[in-house]
Amino acid sequence: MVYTATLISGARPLLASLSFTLPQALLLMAAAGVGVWCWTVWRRRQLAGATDLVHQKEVSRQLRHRNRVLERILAVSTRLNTTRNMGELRLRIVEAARDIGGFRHCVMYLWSAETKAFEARAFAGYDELAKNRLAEDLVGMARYREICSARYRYSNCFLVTPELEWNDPEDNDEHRARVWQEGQILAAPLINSSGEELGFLSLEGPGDGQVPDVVDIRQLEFLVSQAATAMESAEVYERLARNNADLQVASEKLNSLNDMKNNFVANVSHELRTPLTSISAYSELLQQNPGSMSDAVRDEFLNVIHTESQKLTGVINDILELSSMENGRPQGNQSEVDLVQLAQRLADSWKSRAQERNIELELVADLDSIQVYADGILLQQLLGHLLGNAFKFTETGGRVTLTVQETGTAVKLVVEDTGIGIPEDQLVDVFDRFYQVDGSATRKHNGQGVGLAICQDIVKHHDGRIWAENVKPHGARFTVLLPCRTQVLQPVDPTVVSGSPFQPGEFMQRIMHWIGGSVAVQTATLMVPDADQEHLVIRAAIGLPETVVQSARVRRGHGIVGRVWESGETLLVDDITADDCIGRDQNEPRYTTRSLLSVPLLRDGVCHGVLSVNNRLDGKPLDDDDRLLLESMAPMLTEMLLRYRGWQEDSRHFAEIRETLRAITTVGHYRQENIIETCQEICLAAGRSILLPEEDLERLAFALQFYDVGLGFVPHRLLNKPGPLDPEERHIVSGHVRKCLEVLEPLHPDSKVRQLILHHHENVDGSGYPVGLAGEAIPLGSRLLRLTDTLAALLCPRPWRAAYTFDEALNEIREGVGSQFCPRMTQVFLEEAGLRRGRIEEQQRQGMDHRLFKRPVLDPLQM
Amino acid sequence: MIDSARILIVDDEKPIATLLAQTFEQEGHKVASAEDGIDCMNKMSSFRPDVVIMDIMMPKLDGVDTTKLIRRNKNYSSTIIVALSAKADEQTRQQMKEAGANLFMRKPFAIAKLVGRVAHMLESRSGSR
Repeated sequence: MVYTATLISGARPLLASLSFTLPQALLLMAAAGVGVWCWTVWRRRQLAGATDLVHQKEVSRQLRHRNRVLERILAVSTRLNTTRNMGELRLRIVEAARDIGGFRHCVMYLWSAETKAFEARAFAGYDELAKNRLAEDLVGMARYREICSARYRYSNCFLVTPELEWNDPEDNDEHRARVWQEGQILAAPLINSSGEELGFLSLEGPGDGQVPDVVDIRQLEFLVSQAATAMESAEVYERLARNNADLQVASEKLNSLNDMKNNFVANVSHELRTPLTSISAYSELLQQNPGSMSDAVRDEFLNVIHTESQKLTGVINDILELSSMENGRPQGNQSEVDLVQLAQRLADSWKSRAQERNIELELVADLDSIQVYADGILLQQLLGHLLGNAFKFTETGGRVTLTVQETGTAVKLVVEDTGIGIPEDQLVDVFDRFYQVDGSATRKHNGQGVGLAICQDIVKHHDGRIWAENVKPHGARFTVLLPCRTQVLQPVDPTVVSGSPFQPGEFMQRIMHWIGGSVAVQTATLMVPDADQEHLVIRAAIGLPETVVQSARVRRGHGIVGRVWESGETLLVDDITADDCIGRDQNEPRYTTRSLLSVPLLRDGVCHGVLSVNNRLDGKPLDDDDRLLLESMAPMLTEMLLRYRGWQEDSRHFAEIRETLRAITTVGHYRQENIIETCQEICLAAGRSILLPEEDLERLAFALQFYDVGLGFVPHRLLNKPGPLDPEERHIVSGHVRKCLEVLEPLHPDSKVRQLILHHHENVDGSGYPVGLAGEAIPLGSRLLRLTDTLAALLCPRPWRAAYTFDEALNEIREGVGSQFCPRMTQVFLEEAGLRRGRIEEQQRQGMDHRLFKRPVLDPLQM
Repeated sequence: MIDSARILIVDDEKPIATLLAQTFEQEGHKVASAEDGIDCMNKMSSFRPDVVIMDIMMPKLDGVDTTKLIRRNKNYSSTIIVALSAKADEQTRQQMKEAGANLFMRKPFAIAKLVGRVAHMLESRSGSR
């Protein structure tokens, strides 16, 4: 009796820290529960003098009840620890707190740095009206401190009563007898492991109309502490996921920088050598024929040398600028920049040159000031290059217009000239390093085309877009869209987060940590049968060296773990060395202390694995309490393990099915696999560049593999029919979209994937099938799929026509912009396609050598 | 002294094309110029050159593809093709060799050396006939 009482008082500071582990807490709670109860009974016994029989029945009834509650808490806290979605987690917490505490209503208030107050964020047991009312009701810090003041303290919670009616809060008996009053609330603070006050749960209306007793409150407190930890880990997880995505983006940037650099080195030597060749050749001739050369010829030669030297200087300057952009570009030089002012300044500085060449320079700005968050120096360079470019290609008497506009989501800069324009098929290439509108006509214009490459770098640096187009009757228009940063970096749609992919490896590891933390041991090992069913291997472990995890194998019936597996019975060994009847297997993972607890994971009499723990943190041997705790966790673990295995098998089957489906769809089609793959890559790259979240990219990748499996069910006669289809045939062909979803049904694609595939034949003007969605209603991914499908089909030959060339295919797509294709997606898609022009052309060449040069002028046999 | 040969200069860089044309004319050869690969293919049948001086990085059709095309036509199997390029990495050299060029010279080059090499190749070709 005395022992139990000490335990209760000893439990107080421990609970107050709110960082106890699950088993400790459970034991303490069990002890506290039994203790309080025993004490009560003892007093009652003294008072009432009840018989032993009645007493024992009461004891066993209450114990059973407590046990059930504990089991529930365990189940709930397990669930909490595996929930990663914040919103869902909060909801689960308030519901669990309400149910376990026996209340009708529960609200979670969380600190908001924005409003500097606690906001109601999750509700259980309230109708919509009450929720809205609560959501508006902010709890300030002062009010929070008042709630959490010593006078309301009740265990580690706070029982807030409108008018303080009792004077002795330590008197538990008094409390227990107290009837719940109108307006009373029970507040349970949410404090994470580092002692931060996240917020609190506010509970109202106990089901029995009584103020709950201390034991019930302790249970509630235990749940709340678990909840705070779960919220903390969910937050860490969300942050990790975000960081991961950031890292991904950064590493991609690095990769592309690397590619650019390699390209750059190859190109740069060419650009330097070309003028150098002229200089060297002309000076060589000057040197060799000093006497025989007329003055006119010599002057002409010197002139060439001079011009080429200047060209060389220009190239070197550009290169220096480019490399300074790539290497030493200072990060974080961004600030608020007034674009109108900047444009005005540039226009002024170009005025004299404009007058010199009799070119009209006009600045159009519909606002006096447009602010963007950007690097001012880079933007100045950007505009400088665009203006320089416009001037370069505009003849005397022409006009250059610079427009600055705000479009709501972005700032638009347009530089338009009345110059020679850009050949339609090269609109994308102009941004390539060292590209210049080719041919002799432009050779008189200086510069090597690095300028636009720099522009693209600057725009990309600001996460913007740049593109070129021709204007009628002649001239080129360069448009730059710079996003407002805050809008681009907006957190992804919350509905997407809930679909975050399941990561099984990490999941198992977390479970092991949870077990280790619960039993308070250093080492926990989950072993499962090998494929041969004769050995156990480690599935997940904590506190073991990597080599052991990789190599450990225990034969059935050998060693402690092997015996547990065979017998299906728990073994608790106090001293491994003293127990002769248990032989130790050579390969069994090493244990550093003598006490070992091994529990079988049973389901329907079959042992699916063995969970072993040892090295208790306090250095003491493992005891019966640990055994009970671990055994109570075993069914749950078995369930998790089996689900995990199911998932593994599913994903293997899934891969096989995927292969089969691909094989089926490939047969009978005129597809060139490598071109299709490049097109898929373009699609994903485009998705990435519009900042689709990683999960959506995975869905897109999935959809890319399967979106056309339905075609396998369309008669070949129709697929291979030259020329347009009649209405009935069109109906059959358009059915392939729904057919595809039917075929995929066994794979359980998620609803977003379904949407992607279902709408991949919709047109932006609403003329597509199967639904006839239009514009923004079509999922972004479907719009990309539509483009991918079209590009792939054009680039591959059909029986009645040859494959389109890259440029022909791109032109075909451009023609469909606004009717079939979304202009925005097309822009991004073509940009990515342009980057892979070389590869596609090479693949087309490999694929059908005889079709290489189908233009008559190029056929050598006809010449 | 070898006979006068027919030399086609394919280069989109005007100063170089002009200079090479003048140089080979002074050597007593008959010279034509083309500014890109397609222009070159068009002139092959009309001009029927003995030697093609081929730049590699050109618009429309590059030197590698042009060389391949020339070699596909049996009539031009003995035409001497000299590749002349500022892009002179190992990969380009290899591509050009596989395409069927007889000689690869990196830009900038010494004119005297080019003229000498061409003369030598013309000589050994007429010797082997």
